[in-house]
Amino acid sequence: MRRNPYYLLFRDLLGGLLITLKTLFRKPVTVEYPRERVKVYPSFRGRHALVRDPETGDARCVACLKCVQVCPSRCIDVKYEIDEKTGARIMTQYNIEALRCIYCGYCEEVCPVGAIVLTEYFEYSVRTREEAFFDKEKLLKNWDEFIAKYTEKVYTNKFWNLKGIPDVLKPAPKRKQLEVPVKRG
Amino acid sequence: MALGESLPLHLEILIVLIKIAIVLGVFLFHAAYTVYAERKILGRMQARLGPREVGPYGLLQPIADLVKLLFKEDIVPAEAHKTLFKIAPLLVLTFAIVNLSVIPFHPSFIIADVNLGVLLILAFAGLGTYGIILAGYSSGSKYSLLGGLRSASQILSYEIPLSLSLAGVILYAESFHLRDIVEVQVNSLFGINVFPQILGFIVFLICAFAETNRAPFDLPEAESELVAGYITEYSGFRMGLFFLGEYISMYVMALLISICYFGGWAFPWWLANALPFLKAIPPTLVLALKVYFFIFLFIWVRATFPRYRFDQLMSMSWKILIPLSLINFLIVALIKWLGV
Amino acid sequence: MIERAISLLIISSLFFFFLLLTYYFRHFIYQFLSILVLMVLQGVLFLYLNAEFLAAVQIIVYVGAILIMFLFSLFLFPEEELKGIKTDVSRISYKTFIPIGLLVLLLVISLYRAVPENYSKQEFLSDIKVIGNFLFNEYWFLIYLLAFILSLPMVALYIFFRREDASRNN
Ligand code: SF4
Ligand code: SF4
Repeated sequence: MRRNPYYLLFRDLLGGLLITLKTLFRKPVTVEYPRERVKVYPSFRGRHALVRDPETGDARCVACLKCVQVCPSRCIDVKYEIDEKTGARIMTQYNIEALRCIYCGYCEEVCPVGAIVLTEYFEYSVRTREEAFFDKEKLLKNWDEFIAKYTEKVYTNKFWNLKGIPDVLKPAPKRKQLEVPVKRG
Repeated sequence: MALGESLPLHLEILIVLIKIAIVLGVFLFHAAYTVYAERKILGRMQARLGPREVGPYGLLQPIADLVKLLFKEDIVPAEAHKTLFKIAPLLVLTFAIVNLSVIPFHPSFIIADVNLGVLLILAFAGLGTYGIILAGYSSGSKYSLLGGLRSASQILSYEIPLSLSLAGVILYAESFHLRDIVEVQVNSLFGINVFPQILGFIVFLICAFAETNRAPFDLPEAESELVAGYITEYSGFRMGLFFLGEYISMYVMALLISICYFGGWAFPWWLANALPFLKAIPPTLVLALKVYFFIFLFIWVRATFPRYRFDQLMSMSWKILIPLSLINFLIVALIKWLGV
Repeated sequence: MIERAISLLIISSLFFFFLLLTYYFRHFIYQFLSILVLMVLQGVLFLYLNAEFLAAVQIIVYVGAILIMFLFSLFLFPEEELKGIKTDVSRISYKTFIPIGLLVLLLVISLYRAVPENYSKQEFLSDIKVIGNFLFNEYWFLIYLLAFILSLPMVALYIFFRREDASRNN
């Protein structure tokens, strides 16, 4: 194989050296985490929460079990009762094993009423397995903690309102923009 | 040593001991802070920050590293040959440090004023290989053994072009003494040896990377293939000794390059004539600046180039570098014959 | 002069020590390492004789290159073949030493009788430098030959015992 005789000038080697030399004088991209923080973009998939409805003060979940079905790692467990009078389902238990979750966001995407959400809160490292097991109370508390620091009037999630799906294919509550009014004060 | 001749024996020994203490202190300090500089520069070259947490700008990081290494558990594997396992890092470190004794840091500061400086350095480099190869063998693990074998064949095949390119320098100066090499090249036509011996310089530079097991020739400790090569089984302070040896031999190589090819502590005559104020700079500082540049080059190259494959490494030594260094030797002989 | 004699004594006793170690060790690598030390000691001996260049070349070429090649090939053997090497001293018959002893005796006698005129016998017995001068000046070829001849039976013995070991295993 004949090589281009220019390789004797070490052009490629010197070029490589030049690149690293240029990078030496560039501003580093490191974020020194505890002191500085990365900007968390909307619809970042962090800690799970059950949305507390500002009107009823309880979770909005209708126990349709869609999230249980869609979860790839099978970490959601929902128990429900049936109301004798109306025949509606009432959710009694809602458990998420956060250590098994892969943060795919399918659950919040599939939920017809926007009841489950992955909040933008990500600093929740724990010391025991039990602390990472979220039941209904904890999930509602997670929502309260998240919303206490939330600045805007209305909370909405990108995964609740996916673009490009025709309205016919959406469940009824999702046909218009799905939002949660956040009570302030 | 004009000073020592009139002195009684015990004073002479005392002076040598003080010199050794100075050199050791300076070089251990430098080795520690080269680790810091390497991490910092490597970081910046990859657009990272490098160590920052310990002390201002992370300046106390080497001390923290040292303390960590000292307090780590010292593990000797059950399969290991105990004595050899313990001796090997000492061998590497000793034969790296001993090299410093024949290098002049100042026209009048040299620990052992022997006439065969360059040859002794080559001899110690050969002995230092045993540390690595025995570390590989005595660990009793296949990764270590393969790392040791690789390093043996690598150092063996790179020692030849290294000494052949040095032979050009020696022939030009007609002396093995590093001080004579500096004096002859500064007063020669070209001022510094790089210009007539550019081939020899390139060969020497490549061999210096290979001899110190640095990237891009760090095959003995190739992380992706051999875990950590011959240091796989070492932990705690013994591993620290290996690193110390590596950094000190890096300094030895940088010193050799700047002395043999860049005029050591002196400036070439044409530069000194053009800019007379350069003569006011103390000689050791000049040498140190040249050495720092080459240390920076070592780090720079590590940040830039990927690792060679083993067959490429071998064929490069035997097929390219040895013929090149022989050509360089012929050129030097021609220059000598023409009487330039 | 006395310090030179003492250093020669130290070097030669180290020689013998490591020579014995090559027989003492059961492990091939350790035996090899004591040979390595012998090679380095040879360099030291050259230094003692003020032949610095020879010493450096000895270490660069023999220790730094050739012995590493040997070690390299030794590493390719499995560990079981390297260890448990026995040099069975009882197998060496006392008859082996008779010709060697005779040779040494003859040599000493002939040396003593053949001291030429220009060396005084008194000095010859006491001063190590004079002996050295004499041996190197008058009999260097003989000594070289003797060393060569003496090394032959050692090699032969070694090969002999290796064969024996291998056949016993089969
Ligand atoms: S984010 Fe994915 S894995 Fe996690 S609970 Fe929701 S559906 Fe399951
Ligand atoms: S999909 Fe939504 S409403 Fe249905 S069970 Fe899950 S959280 Fe409840």
